[in-house]
Amino acid sequence: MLTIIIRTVIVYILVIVAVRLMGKRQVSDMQTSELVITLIISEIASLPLENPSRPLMMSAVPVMLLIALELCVSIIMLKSRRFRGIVCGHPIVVIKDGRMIKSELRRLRVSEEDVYSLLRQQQVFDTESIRYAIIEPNGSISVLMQEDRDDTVESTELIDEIESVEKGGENT
Amino acid sequence: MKRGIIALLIVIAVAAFTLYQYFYITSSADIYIEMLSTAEEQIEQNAITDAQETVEKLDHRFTLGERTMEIFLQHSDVSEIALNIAMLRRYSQTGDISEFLAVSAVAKRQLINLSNAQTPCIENIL
Repeated sequence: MLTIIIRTVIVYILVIVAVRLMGKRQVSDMQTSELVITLIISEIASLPLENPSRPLMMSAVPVMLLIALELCVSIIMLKSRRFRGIVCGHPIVVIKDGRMIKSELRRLRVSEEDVYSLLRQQQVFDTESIRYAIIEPNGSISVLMQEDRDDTVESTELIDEIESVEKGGENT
Repeated sequence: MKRGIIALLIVIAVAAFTLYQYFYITSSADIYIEMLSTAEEQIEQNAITDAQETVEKLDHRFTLGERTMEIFLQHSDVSEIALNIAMLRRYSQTGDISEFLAVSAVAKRQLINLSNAQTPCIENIL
Protein backbone atom coordinates (compact mmCIF):
# COMPACT_ATOMS: atom_id res chain seq x y z
CA MET A 1 0.00 0.00 0.00
CA LEU A 2 2.86 2.36 0.87
CA THR A 3 4.31 1.74 -2.60
CA ILE A 4 1.00 2.73 -4.21
CA ILE A 5 0.81 5.91 -2.10
CA ILE A 6 4.33 6.96 -3.14
CA ARG A 7 3.58 6.04 -6.76
CA THR A 8 0.37 8.09 -6.66
CA VAL A 9 2.29 11.18 -5.53
CA ILE A 10 4.92 10.65 -8.26
CA VAL A 11 2.28 10.10 -10.96
CA TYR A 12 0.38 13.20 -9.76
CA ILE A 13 3.53 15.33 -10.08
CA LEU A 14 4.31 13.79 -13.48
CA VAL A 15 0.83 14.50 -14.84
CA ILE A 16 0.90 18.07 -13.47
CA VAL A 17 4.24 18.64 -15.24
CA ALA A 18 2.78 17.12 -18.42
CA VAL A 19 -0.28 19.37 -18.35
CA ARG A 20 1.82 22.47 -17.56
CA LEU A 21 4.18 21.73 -20.45
CA MET A 22 1.25 21.26 -22.82
CA GLY A 23 0.00 24.78 -22.09
CA LYS A 24 -2.94 26.51 -20.53
CA ARG A 25 -5.78 25.55 -22.82
CA GLN A 26 -9.12 24.42 -21.49
CA VAL A 27 -10.53 21.05 -22.56
CA SER A 28 -13.00 22.74 -24.93
CA ASP A 29 -10.18 24.64 -26.66
CA MET A 30 -7.96 21.61 -27.21
CA GLN A 31 -6.70 20.74 -30.64
CA THR A 32 -7.04 17.15 -31.86
CA SER A 33 -3.45 16.22 -30.98
CA GLU A 34 -3.76 17.70 -27.47
CA LEU A 35 -7.00 15.84 -26.81
CA VAL A 36 -5.48 12.55 -27.98
CA ILE A 37 -2.36 13.07 -25.84
CA THR A 38 -4.48 13.95 -22.77
CA LEU A 39 -6.59 10.80 -23.16
CA ILE A 40 -3.54 8.55 -23.62
CA ILE A 41 -1.65 10.12 -20.70
CA SER A 42 -4.61 9.67 -18.36
CA GLU A 43 -4.84 6.00 -19.36
CA ILE A 44 -1.11 5.23 -19.12
CA ALA A 45 -0.65 7.13 -15.84
CA SER A 46 -3.30 5.05 -14.08
CA LEU A 47 -1.73 1.66 -14.97
CA PRO A 48 1.06 1.51 -12.32
CA LEU A 49 -1.46 2.63 -9.69
CA GLU A 50 -3.78 -0.26 -10.52
CA ASN A 51 -1.01 -2.86 -10.74
CA PRO A 52 1.87 -2.61 -8.22
CA SER A 53 3.72 -5.36 -10.12
CA ARG A 54 4.09 -3.03 -13.10
CA PRO A 55 7.24 -0.84 -12.95
CA LEU A 56 6.49 2.87 -12.68
CA MET A 57 9.01 3.53 -15.45
CA MET A 58 6.82 1.58 -17.90
CA SER A 59 4.34 4.45 -17.57
CA ALA A 60 6.65 7.36 -16.80
CA VAL A 61 8.77 6.88 -19.93
CA PRO A 62 5.80 6.79 -22.38
CA VAL A 63 4.21 9.81 -20.64
CA MET A 64 7.44 11.83 -20.95
CA LEU A 65 7.83 10.76 -24.58
CA LEU A 66 4.24 11.78 -25.36
CA ILE A 67 4.90 15.21 -23.84
CA ALA A 68 8.06 15.57 -25.94
CA LEU A 69 6.15 14.54 -29.09
CA GLU A 70 3.35 16.98 -28.30
CA LEU A 71 5.86 19.79 -27.78
CA CYS A 72 7.57 18.95 -31.08
CA VAL A 73 4.24 18.79 -32.93
CA SER A 74 3.09 22.13 -31.47
CA ILE A 75 6.39 23.78 -32.46
CA ILE A 76 6.14 22.42 -36.03
CA MET A 77 2.47 23.51 -36.20
CA LEU A 78 3.51 27.06 -35.29
CA LYS A 79 6.01 27.08 -38.14
CA SER A 80 4.02 25.20 -40.81
CA ARG A 81 0.44 26.00 -41.68
CA ARG A 82 0.25 22.94 -43.90
CA PHE A 83 1.33 20.63 -41.07
CA ARG A 84 -1.17 22.35 -38.76
CA GLY A 85 -3.89 21.63 -41.32
CA ILE A 86 -2.93 17.94 -41.47
CA VAL A 87 -2.89 17.50 -37.68
CA CYS A 88 -5.77 19.76 -36.60
CA GLY A 89 -7.87 20.11 -39.74
CA HIS A 90 -9.10 23.34 -41.31
CA PRO A 91 -11.87 25.73 -40.33
CA ILE A 92 -14.85 25.20 -42.66
CA VAL A 93 -17.44 27.75 -43.77
CA VAL A 94 -20.92 26.29 -43.18
CA ILE A 95 -23.08 29.39 -43.71
CA LYS A 96 -22.44 32.04 -46.32
CA ASP A 97 -24.70 35.08 -46.75
CA GLY A 98 -27.41 33.41 -44.67
CA ARG A 99 -27.40 30.17 -46.70
CA MET A 100 -26.39 26.87 -45.17
CA ILE A 101 -23.76 25.01 -47.24
CA LYS A 102 -25.14 21.48 -47.00
CA SER A 103 -22.26 19.79 -48.81
CA GLU A 104 -19.86 21.04 -46.13
CA LEU A 105 -22.21 19.87 -43.38
CA ARG A 106 -22.31 16.39 -44.93
CA ARG A 107 -18.51 16.40 -45.15
CA LEU A 108 -18.27 17.37 -41.46
CA ARG A 109 -21.01 14.87 -40.54
CA VAL A 110 -22.80 17.70 -38.73
CA SER A 111 -26.57 18.17 -38.96
CA GLU A 112 -28.33 21.51 -39.48
CA GLU A 113 -29.75 21.14 -35.96
CA ASP A 114 -26.21 20.92 -34.56
CA VAL A 115 -25.30 24.16 -36.33
CA TYR A 116 -28.47 25.88 -35.07
CA SER A 117 -27.61 24.71 -31.56
CA LEU A 118 -24.08 26.12 -31.83
CA LEU A 119 -25.50 29.38 -33.20
CA ARG A 120 -27.99 29.68 -30.35
CA GLN A 121 -25.10 29.31 -27.90
CA GLN A 122 -23.58 32.35 -29.66
CA GLN A 123 -26.92 34.23 -29.19
CA VAL A 124 -27.61 34.05 -32.93
CA PHE A 125 -31.20 33.11 -33.75
CA ASP A 126 -31.58 34.34 -37.33
CA THR A 127 -29.40 32.64 -39.97
CA GLU A 128 -30.43 35.24 -42.58
CA SER A 129 -28.42 37.85 -40.69
CA ILE A 130 -25.24 35.77 -40.84
CA ARG A 131 -22.60 36.69 -43.35
CA TYR A 132 -20.22 33.83 -42.50
CA ALA A 133 -20.42 30.99 -39.98
CA ILE A 134 -17.31 28.88 -39.63
CA ILE A 135 -16.83 25.59 -37.79
CA GLU A 136 -13.39 25.81 -36.18
CA PRO A 137 -11.02 22.78 -35.92
CA ASN A 138 -11.86 22.47 -32.18
CA GLY A 139 -15.60 22.13 -33.02
CA SER A 140 -16.70 25.63 -31.95
CA ILE A 141 -18.44 28.04 -34.31
CA SER A 142 -17.38 31.56 -35.28
CA VAL A 143 -19.95 33.94 -36.70
CA LEU A 144 -19.60 37.13 -38.73
CA MET A 145 -22.91 39.01 -38.95
CA GLN A 146 -24.10 41.02 -41.96
CA GLU A 147 -24.15 44.20 -39.86
CA ASP A 148 -20.43 43.67 -39.08
CA ARG A 149 -19.74 44.57 -42.72
CA ASP A 150 -17.54 47.66 -42.88
CA ASP A 151 -14.47 48.73 -44.78
CA THR A 152 -11.95 48.99 -41.96
CA VAL A 153 -8.56 47.37 -42.52
CA GLU A 154 -9.22 44.75 -39.80
CA SER A 155 -12.55 43.80 -41.33
CA THR A 156 -11.10 43.50 -44.83
CA GLU A 157 -8.29 41.30 -43.53
CA LEU A 158 -10.83 39.13 -41.71
CA ILE A 159 -12.92 38.69 -44.86
CA ASP A 160 -9.80 37.81 -46.86
CA GLU A 161 -8.91 35.22 -44.22
CA ILE A 162 -12.43 33.73 -44.34
CA GLU A 163 -12.34 33.59 -48.12
CA SER A 164 -9.00 31.77 -48.01
CA VAL A 165 -10.57 29.34 -45.50
CA GLU A 166 -13.46 28.86 -47.88
CA LYS A 167 -11.11 28.11 -50.78
CA GLY A 168 -9.11 25.76 -48.56
CA GLY A 169 -12.30 23.94 -47.60
CA GLU A 170 -13.25 23.49 -51.26
CA ASN A 171 -9.81 22.10 -52.09
CA THR A 172 -9.67 19.59 -49.22
CA MET B 1 12.28 27.74 -28.07
CA LYS B 2 12.40 26.88 -24.36
CA ARG B 3 9.80 24.15 -24.91
CA GLY B 4 11.77 22.85 -27.88
CA ILE B 5 14.82 22.43 -25.66
CA ILE B 6 12.69 20.70 -22.99
CA ALA B 7 11.32 18.33 -25.67
CA LEU B 8 14.85 17.59 -26.89
CA LEU B 9 16.08 16.92 -23.33
CA ILE B 10 13.15 14.57 -22.68
CA VAL B 11 13.83 12.68 -25.92
CA ILE B 12 17.53 12.35 -25.02
CA ALA B 13 16.67 11.15 -21.48
CA VAL B 14 14.12 8.63 -22.79
CA ALA B 15 16.55 7.35 -25.45
CA ALA B 16 19.36 6.97 -22.88
CA PHE B 17 17.09 5.17 -20.42
CA THR B 18 15.72 2.85 -23.11
CA LEU B 19 19.18 1.97 -24.45
CA TYR B 20 20.50 1.30 -20.94
CA GLN B 21 17.47 -0.89 -20.22
CA TYR B 22 17.88 -2.80 -23.49
CA PHE B 23 21.57 -3.54 -23.01
CA TYR B 24 21.23 -4.24 -19.28
CA ILE B 25 18.43 -6.78 -19.71
CA THR B 26 19.82 -8.55 -22.79
CA SER B 27 23.39 -8.78 -21.46
CA SER B 28 22.23 -9.93 -18.01
CA ALA B 29 19.93 -12.55 -19.56
CA ASP B 30 22.80 -13.81 -21.75
CA ILE B 31 25.07 -14.19 -18.71
CA TYR B 32 22.39 -16.05 -16.72
CA ILE B 33 21.62 -18.35 -19.67
CA GLU B 34 25.32 -19.14 -20.06
CA MET B 35 25.62 -19.93 -16.34
CA LEU B 36 22.55 -22.16 -16.53
CA SER B 37 24.00 -24.02 -19.52
CA THR B 38 27.27 -24.54 -17.63
CA ALA B 39 25.38 -25.88 -14.58
CA GLU B 40 23.36 -28.23 -16.84
CA GLU B 41 26.54 -29.59 -18.43
CA GLN B 42 28.12 -30.10 -15.01
CA ILE B 43 25.04 -31.92 -13.70
CA GLU B 44 24.97 -34.15 -16.79
CA GLN B 45 28.63 -35.03 -16.20
CA ASN B 46 27.76 -35.85 -12.56
CA ALA B 47 29.92 -32.96 -11.29
CA ILE B 48 27.33 -32.12 -8.64
CA THR B 49 29.62 -29.95 -6.49
CA ASP B 50 30.65 -27.82 -9.48
CA ALA B 51 27.00 -27.48 -10.50
CA GLN B 52 26.11 -26.43 -6.95
CA GLU B 53 28.82 -23.79 -7.03
CA THR B 54 27.69 -22.48 -10.42
CA VAL B 55 24.04 -22.28 -9.32
CA GLU B 56 25.05 -20.50 -6.10
CA LYS B 57 27.04 -17.98 -8.13
CA LEU B 58 24.04 -17.56 -10.43
CA ASP B 59 21.67 -17.08 -7.49
CA HIS B 60 23.98 -14.51 -5.89
CA ARG B 61 24.39 -12.61 -9.14
CA PHE B 62 20.66 -12.68 -9.89
CA THR B 63 19.80 -11.45 -6.38
CA LEU B 64 22.19 -8.50 -6.85
CA GLY B 65 20.65 -7.55 -10.20
CA GLU B 66 17.03 -8.31 -9.26
CA ARG B 67 16.22 -4.82 -7.97
CA THR B 68 17.55 -3.13 -11.10
CA MET B 69 15.61 -5.58 -13.26
CA GLU B 70 12.43 -4.74 -11.38
CA ILE B 71 12.79 -1.10 -12.46
CA PHE B 72 12.43 -2.21 -16.08
CA LEU B 73 10.35 -5.40 -16.01
CA GLN B 74 7.11 -6.70 -14.54
CA HIS B 75 7.96 -7.64 -10.95
CA SER B 76 6.10 -10.95 -11.27
CA ASP B 77 8.29 -12.00 -14.25
CA VAL B 78 11.47 -11.32 -12.28
CA SER B 79 10.12 -13.09 -9.19
CA GLU B 80 9.27 -16.18 -11.22
CA ILE B 81 12.84 -16.48 -12.49
CA ALA B 82 14.19 -15.90 -8.95
CA LEU B 83 11.90 -18.66 -7.72
CA ASN B 84 13.16 -21.09 -10.37
CA ILE B 85 16.78 -20.28 -9.55
CA ALA B 86 16.08 -20.92 -5.86
CA MET B 87 14.56 -24.29 -6.82
CA LEU B 88 17.65 -25.10 -8.93
CA ARG B 89 19.82 -24.37 -5.94
CA ARG B 90 17.80 -26.79 -3.82
CA TYR B 91 17.81 -29.55 -6.49
CA SER B 92 21.58 -29.20 -6.92
CA GLN B 93 21.97 -29.71 -3.16
CA THR B 94 19.76 -32.81 -3.14
CA GLY B 95 21.33 -34.12 -6.37
CA ASP B 96 17.96 -34.50 -8.12
CA ILE B 97 19.22 -34.41 -11.71
CA SER B 98 15.94 -34.83 -13.63
CA GLU B 99 14.16 -32.10 -11.63
CA PHE B 100 17.22 -29.87 -11.94
CA LEU B 101 17.27 -30.19 -15.71
CA ALA B 102 13.52 -29.60 -15.98
CA VAL B 103 13.56 -26.43 -13.86
CA SER B 104 16.74 -25.24 -15.59
CA ALA B 105 15.02 -25.57 -18.97
CA VAL B 106 12.07 -23.50 -17.68
CA ALA B 107 14.36 -20.78 -16.25
CA LYS B 108 16.35 -20.70 -19.49
CA ARG B 109 13.18 -20.29 -21.56
CA GLN B 110 11.99 -17.49 -19.28
CA LEU B 111 15.29 -15.66 -19.67
CA ILE B 112 15.29 -16.12 -23.44
CA ASN B 113 11.72 -14.77 -23.63
CA LEU B 114 12.69 -11.82 -21.43
CA SER B 115 15.65 -11.02 -23.64
CA ASN B 116 13.68 -11.47 -26.87
CA ALA B 117 10.87 -9.23 -25.59
CA GLN B 118 13.32 -6.31 -25.45
CA THR B 119 14.15 -6.50 -29.15
CA PRO B 120 12.09 -4.03 -31.18
CA CYS B 121 11.24 -6.59 -33.89
CA ILE B 122 7.97 -6.62 -35.84
CA GLU B 123 6.40 -9.38 -33.70
CA ASN B 124 7.04 -7.42 -30.50
CA ILE B 125 5.90 -4.11 -31.93
CA LEU B 126 2.68 -5.54 -33.31
